[in-house]
Amino acid sequence: PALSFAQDKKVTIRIASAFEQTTDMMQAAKRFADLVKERSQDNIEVKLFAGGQMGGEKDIVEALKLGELEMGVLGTYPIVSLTPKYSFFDAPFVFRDKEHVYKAWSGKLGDEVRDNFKKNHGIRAIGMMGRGYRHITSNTPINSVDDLKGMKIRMGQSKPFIDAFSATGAVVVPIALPELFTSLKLGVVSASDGPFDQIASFKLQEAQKYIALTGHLYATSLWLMNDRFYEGLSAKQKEVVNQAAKEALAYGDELAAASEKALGEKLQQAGMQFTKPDYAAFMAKAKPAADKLFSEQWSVTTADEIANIR
Amino acid sequence: MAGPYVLILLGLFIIAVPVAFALGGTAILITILERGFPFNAAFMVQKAVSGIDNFMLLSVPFFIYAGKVMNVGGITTRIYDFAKSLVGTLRGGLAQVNVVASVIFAGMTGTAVSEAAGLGTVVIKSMREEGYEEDFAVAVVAASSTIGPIIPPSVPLVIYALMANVSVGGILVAGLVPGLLMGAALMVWIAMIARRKNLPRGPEFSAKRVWTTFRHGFLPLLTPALLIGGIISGVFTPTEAAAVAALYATFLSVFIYRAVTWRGLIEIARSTVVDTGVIMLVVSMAMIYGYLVTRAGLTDAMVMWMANISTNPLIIGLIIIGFLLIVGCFLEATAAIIILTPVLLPIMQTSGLDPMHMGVIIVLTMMIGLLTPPFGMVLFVLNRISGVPLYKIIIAVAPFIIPLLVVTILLLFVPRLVLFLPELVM
Amino acid sequence: MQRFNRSLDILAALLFAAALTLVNIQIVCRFILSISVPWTEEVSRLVFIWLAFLGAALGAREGSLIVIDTLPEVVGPRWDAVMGPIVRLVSLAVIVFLFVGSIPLVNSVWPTTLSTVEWISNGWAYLAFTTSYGLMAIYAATPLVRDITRVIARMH
Ligand code: NA
Ligand code: NA
Repeated sequence: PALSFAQDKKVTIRIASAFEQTTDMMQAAKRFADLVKERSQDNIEVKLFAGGQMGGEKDIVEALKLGELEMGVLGTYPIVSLTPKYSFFDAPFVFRDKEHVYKAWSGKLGDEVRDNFKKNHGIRAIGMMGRGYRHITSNTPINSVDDLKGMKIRMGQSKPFIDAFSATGAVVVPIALPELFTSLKLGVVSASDGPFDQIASFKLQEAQKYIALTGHLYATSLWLMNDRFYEGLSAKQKEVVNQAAKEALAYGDELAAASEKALGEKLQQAGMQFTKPDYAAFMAKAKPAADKLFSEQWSVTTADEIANIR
Repeated sequence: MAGPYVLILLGLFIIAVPVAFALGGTAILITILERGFPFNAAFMVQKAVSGIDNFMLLSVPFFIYAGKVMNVGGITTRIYDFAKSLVGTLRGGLAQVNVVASVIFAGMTGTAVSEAAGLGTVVIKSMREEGYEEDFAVAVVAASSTIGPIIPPSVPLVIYALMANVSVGGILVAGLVPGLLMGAALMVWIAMIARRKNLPRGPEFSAKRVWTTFRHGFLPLLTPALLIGGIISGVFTPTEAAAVAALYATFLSVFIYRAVTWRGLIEIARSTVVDTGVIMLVVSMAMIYGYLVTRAGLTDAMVMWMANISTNPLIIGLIIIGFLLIVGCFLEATAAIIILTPVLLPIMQTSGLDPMHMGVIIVLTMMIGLLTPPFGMVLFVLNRISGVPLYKIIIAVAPFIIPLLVVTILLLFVPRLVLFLPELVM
Repeated sequence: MQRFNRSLDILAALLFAAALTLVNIQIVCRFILSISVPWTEEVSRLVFIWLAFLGAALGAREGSLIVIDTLPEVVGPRWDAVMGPIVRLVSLAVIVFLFVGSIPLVNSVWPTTLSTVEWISNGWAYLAFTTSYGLMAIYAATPLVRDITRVIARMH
């Protein structure tokens, strides 16, 4: 049945992201925009601001809280900043694989995060889409966790990552992303971590030789919306937004899976050699750091509870 | 729709409201027009703080500080003497000396103003003594001071890198060849003037004197090598290199040359903080203004408008240069880079111009703006140092803009001159 | 007031020294000692924010903020007599507006902390803004009060 929007006030959804328009995440956001526009018969307009035009992740989260922006396409940073007790969602060596992350997100722990976002920050989590597994790039091959010892590895400003990688014996160095390539190329640091899309978009294949396929976290993208804006929509508008988001996120997941495969091949063709060290050994080395975080910061759950999500 | 954004800002600029508050005031007025009064200003404060929350910006106070310490540490004189032993013998020797000294000093200082203020005093005094026309001397100092922020270290290039999200290390190295080209162009230009005006020659060239002055200047001359060498060998990041340079300058002038007291050092640190704060105040307010401009879709509109004029990157490049030359007449250089880079960046990207390549060109164009009236910081500084009336300086400087513009356009047409070095070493 | 200003000057120099020390510690730890010091980057950014905003306030105090003063230069001293108070009033309005706007932000962010140092609140960054704008309000209001007293004196 054709919906009629004649009585509904026209609205604009501004979507901001720190990611470039060419990424899978923003391509999926573009799909969302097209679907919403078409199905609402131009009653809902969607404007995309990609590539950090509206600022970094921190700025976008703040803007969403204040209602400055209607929607954001982000990484997992919002969980770290808004609900630090749940920042295991953005921690390495905690989840087994992609399915494990998705199960946790759609289950009880994810519900708690979504409630927290809504009640304490006025932000509605629309959904999650995949980005790809995070791996380690390096100058010398990493065949086992012991090869990381003493290696200078670039990390973002994230405590779980810093603690976990410090526990493996690596020297953790904080460096901003725009300086990542030159720092690796010139040898300020000799390793980094990230999903294939980051490795390829920063051209790390020209600075590094090896990728250790650790997959220490399946990186995801969160789609968030200002809750008051959402609640102000008419029932029909909500329906259009929800359905479009669902379809666009599924489309984004397909894109991410396809490009993870394609980018892996591209990086190999560019001369990067893949190693596949034993993942269990990494988890074992990182366990003391994770245990400490579970007891001090992530007190809402336990390592066992997460491990038992199947 | 763009009307209020531009008109309110220009109005506040013209009546001489400080640039930062003009930007903030425009942002506030526009938001009141859109949402009514009062509104929640938290997003503005959030933008202002996060706009300067960047590790790479730490290099700004370090570069400013190093230049200041070198100036009071008597290091300028040592460099001047060394340059004199190299090219003093040419016709119009002291003018050529000034250019060479500027190129060397550029490897230690991050702003044109500190370059003009530091070398200016030494050069103008010595050119007066040897009978050069005063306004010619001042003009040469002014023109060569623009080399300072092109050769690394450079405050404006760091600021540009922040606004355009390009690698700081990359753009600093990219400035080296263009800076040397500017020096060469100015030397050719001076040689032509020297022949026409029949300017005096200095004493004959002496290898021994080169060696003596080189030894005297050796430690300060190490600074650029330390900076660039440290960056490209991977010992430190560009920001860390700035901190090392600052530490090294302190070490030289306090312990080796004993030219600065601890009390003096505190004053230099304090004035460094003020200089940094004054720039960052503009950065932070420009972030608010820029956010509102983008949010209103004006940046996109501007890009479309430019794309309608031409899609040829060279023509777009020339339009940008021409536009910035006009802007440079009226606006302070750093402020202009801060305000305009976010608008120019998408235009460059859609027309296929490399943001790092254009960064050097944009900064160079804005440095020419330091020499153009009515608002030219270098003109003001030299007026204060030399006592030569402003209008005389303006007339004498004007011809020197020609070789600098020639270099700018050459760089636009031959991107390799800018990009070759960073691609080679990085 | 003089003593207060002098201590701000010293604080500025100390902040610079702190930034310089932190960044050099970072080099030594990474390059020479090869040990992780993940907190230097985040802490030096916070120091920089304070350095910059305090510097801005000191710049406002000594009248060295970036201004396009072509028109005042052309018009001469008559300019300041007529337009000076208006310009100062505009600046003060902007400063006070943002000062007030920053206070709830400091409060709302205060419970969160830096990611690498858990005993430092993220609110400190915004507090630098509040402090700076508070100081600038004082420095901008002082000559304005002088303007007003002059006008009142003339009316009497
Ligand atoms: Na320089
Ligand atoms: Na000018």
